[in-house]
Amino acid sequence: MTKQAFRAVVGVEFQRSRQFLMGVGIMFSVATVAVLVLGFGRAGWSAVLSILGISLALQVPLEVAKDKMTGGLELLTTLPLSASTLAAARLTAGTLFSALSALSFAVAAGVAWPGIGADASTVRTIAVSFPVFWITISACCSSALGLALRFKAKTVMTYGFLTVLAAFLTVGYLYERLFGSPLRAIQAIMASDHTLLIATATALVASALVLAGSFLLARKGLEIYEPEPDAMDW
Amino acid sequence: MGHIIEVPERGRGGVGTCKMIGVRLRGFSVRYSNFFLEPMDLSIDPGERVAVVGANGAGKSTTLKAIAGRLRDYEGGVELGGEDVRSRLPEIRAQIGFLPEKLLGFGWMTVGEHLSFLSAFYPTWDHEYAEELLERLELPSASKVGTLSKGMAVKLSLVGAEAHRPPVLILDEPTSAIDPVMRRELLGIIDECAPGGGDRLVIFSSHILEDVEFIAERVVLMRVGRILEDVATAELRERDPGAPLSQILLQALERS
Repeated sequence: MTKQAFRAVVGVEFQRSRQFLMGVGIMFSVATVAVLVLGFGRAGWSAVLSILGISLALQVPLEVAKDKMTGGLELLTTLPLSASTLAAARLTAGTLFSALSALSFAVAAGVAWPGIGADASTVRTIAVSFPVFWITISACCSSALGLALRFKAKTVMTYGFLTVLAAFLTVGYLYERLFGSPLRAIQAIMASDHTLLIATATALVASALVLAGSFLLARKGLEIYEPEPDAMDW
Repeated sequence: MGHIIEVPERGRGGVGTCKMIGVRLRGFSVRYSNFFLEPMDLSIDPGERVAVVGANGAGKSTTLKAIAGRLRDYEGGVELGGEDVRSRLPEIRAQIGFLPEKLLGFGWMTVGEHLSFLSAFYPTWDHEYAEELLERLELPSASKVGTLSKGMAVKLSLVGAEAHRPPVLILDEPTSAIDPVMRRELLGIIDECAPGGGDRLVIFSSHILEDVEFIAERVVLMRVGRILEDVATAELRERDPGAPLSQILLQALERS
């Protein structure tokens, strides 16, 4: 397995992630616009519609998602490329793409905030939460793939811990902003913008660790794994 | 057999070394819920061009996939150059050029991008040779893979399988569903790329008996999961001198 081949797979997977995200992004954007138009300025409605919009946006048709995730896999499994290396390359591309996408979104949100206005807190919360969710989902996927790739137990536990922490903080922050916290004891923590920063940083660290792990794994030639004959499910 | 011999490469596109690799199946057998491939023994030497012939469902593709390292669950052994294919995956795939029944690739890539992507996996990939084949086959490198016709897709598959000059070339139904002119053109190129008696081995499956006549020197007749006959085409011709080989093959298949 050469670096050249690994890079080629990462490149292709990155492209496929972009195509996948474009499809998801269109749905997400439509839902966001719907949320903003219907929910803006109507207290009591906005939270419900926000959740509804996000739910709708996540309803990517399963067959489309499956096609995007498995398309071309048959070609890849005919090449001199082990299943583990393939998975590591896909993981690397996915994580890299998620991090870049989230960063782009955060920059866009930062530019847009002044225009939205300080009193549009719900809109701001949702906008800020998008990249954090994005990274969190990426970190969750990375952890799952880390398990599938049989990363060492300590590494998986570290990923898992960071992912859970990031997810908890992000969900808690969003919930508090939308509905108010039912637990006063943690309200102060959840209401803080620092929480969001910590969640973002944690998720980013988790993604970066997985990314680094994937590269190291590929460089080592995946010698820690048993030889895998094929990834095809004939 | 059982050893890999390196000899000066013949043919087009530069000089290098080409490994001479033979193929051996020992008690190879596959059992699916609705299909059973009886245990078979088969030995193919470097330089041979062997046609695996039979009706749909005979087990041709399954056998070819096993040799190409694309099948995991089977009994018995499949060896390339004396090495067990399953225990040497995925590295051993670099020694094989495989043209599948259906073009495998990303529809959004151009022909050029597709080949460039493939080249990353084969240290012996010859870019000039690939370009030459593209020109010869009149394949525009700017076309999208997803928009290629069946015939063009087969041509692209052939370039992908051949451009790294593998010692073993496996072609699964290369000429099915393409028109006769394109079929003859494709077979002509295969004949040039891997001439009989050379250092490379060609195995191809087909149910078009005229193809067998054109290119094969040996025929493995299969029917419903077993080998009926493994015979040299010269020997087949002797059975009915003057008759076309395709007719003799058809008779052999009907008799079975």
